[in-house]
Amino acid sequence: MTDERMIIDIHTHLPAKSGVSTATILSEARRLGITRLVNLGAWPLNATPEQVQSANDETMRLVRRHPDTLTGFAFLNPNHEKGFVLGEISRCVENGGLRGIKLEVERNARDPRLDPIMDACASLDIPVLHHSWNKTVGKVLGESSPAGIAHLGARRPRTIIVMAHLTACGMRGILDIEPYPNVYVDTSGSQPFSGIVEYAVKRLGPERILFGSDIPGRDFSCQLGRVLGAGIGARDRDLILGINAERLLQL
Amino acid sequence: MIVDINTSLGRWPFQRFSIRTAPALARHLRATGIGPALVTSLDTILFPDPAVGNAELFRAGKRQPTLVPVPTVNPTLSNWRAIVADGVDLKAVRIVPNYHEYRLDTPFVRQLVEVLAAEVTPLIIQMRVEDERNQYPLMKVPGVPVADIVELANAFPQVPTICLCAYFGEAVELIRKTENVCVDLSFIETFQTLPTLLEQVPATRVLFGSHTPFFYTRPAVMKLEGIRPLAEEYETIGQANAVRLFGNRGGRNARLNEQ
Ligand SMILES: [Zn+2]
Repeated sequence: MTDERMIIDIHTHLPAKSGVSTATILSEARRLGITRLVNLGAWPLNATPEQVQSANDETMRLVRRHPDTLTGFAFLNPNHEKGFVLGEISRCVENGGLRGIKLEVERNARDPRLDPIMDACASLDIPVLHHSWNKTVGKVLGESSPAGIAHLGARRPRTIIVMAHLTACGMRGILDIEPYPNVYVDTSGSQPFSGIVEYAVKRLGPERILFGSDIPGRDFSCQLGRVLGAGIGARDRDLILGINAERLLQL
Repeated sequence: MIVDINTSLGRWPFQRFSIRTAPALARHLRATGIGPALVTSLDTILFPDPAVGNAELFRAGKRQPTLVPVPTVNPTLSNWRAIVADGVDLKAVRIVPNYHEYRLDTPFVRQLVEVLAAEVTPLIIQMRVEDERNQYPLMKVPGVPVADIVELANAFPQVPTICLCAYFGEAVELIRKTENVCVDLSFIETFQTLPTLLEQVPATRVLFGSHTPFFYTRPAVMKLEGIRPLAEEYETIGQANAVRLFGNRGGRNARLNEQ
């Protein structure tokens, strides 16, 4: 894991709520050859406008501090007033140097309330990373399934959407998004169940898959292991681990 | 050489495995840096009579010196005594309480563990095989409750009890509340998994387990690599605990020690 290959992790949350220091996280990434982390930030469920702003302030501060290692996305709660949400995009992306938007579970992806956000991202040419999970139990109100993400992708074909949590979306989730070339998927989520990376490569093509770890709730080594352990070719692996993200983020 | 205590062979309706035979499993483990491995039969979980899957497994394992078959029993079925008695090379016995629909406090389980206690045969408890959140909606099978395992283990402190597929929090609780429970690391994950886990529990209670072929094997190996600088703990978790628990039992002693 120490060769010169570029590895970009599209799904990380800093600063760690568990108290693990950012320095420790960055040094662990270095140990494993991960060259860049996309920081989606850390925020509470149903964050208030003030909490959204302070989470994004922290992401911008971290990105300014570690420009060679961190790229930041702005977190938004689509339940907030439209003017505030769009204002936050312009504050953090147009003026703050962040390179994408993160949406979680506050509004389902099928809700048209998301559309102005998607349109703003399309005109700024930045991706949206959206939480998704095919849950049997424990679903949160508003949480999106891959079918919901597919609905969003179909509604807003000019916006690049990264559906989070490949393993948790499962084969069904891959089939849900397959018809929409603007929808990508990250490799994080659940345990490292075998076969899913190969299946995603086969159905979506390696260009639509991005390595993501979801640290610090997860372990870089375990998450990297599922890509390195998959039965895919070296070129596919390199696309997933870094080349796709580099292109998407225009690094 | 790493010893893997959590591998299986067989079929599972919700996943299509690339590793389907004993030679393929042995080859795959070797290629991933693993030597000997305990193997159970997946066909003992859903198929009504576990003896059928056990027999297939033992036949398939015969020609693979690095694979050590472990029989699965269902203590609510009458044939568990025969399976345990027939186990010429018995390293351990596995139970799958959640899929076989019984609680650990039933008299059936007590009778089984009493027999194991007489020979100090390790008991392997399969806590789960899937992530409950992603299960097929009409087959929701919760994990085996930690409290039930704690109660059983404390009632039979002389029986080494190895829990497969515990989550981080479950693993810590199981180890703290008992003297004789160990866990495998397959489902345990947090940032810097093993260094973090070892702040809370001793390395003597954690074993390398990959949960192959349900899981890719590489993640478990890479988790173990995370404590490579701690040579003693690496050795303890990667090999020594397995040799201590299973190595000196049954007729295949050499297998777990062999490199
Ligand atoms: Zn996340």
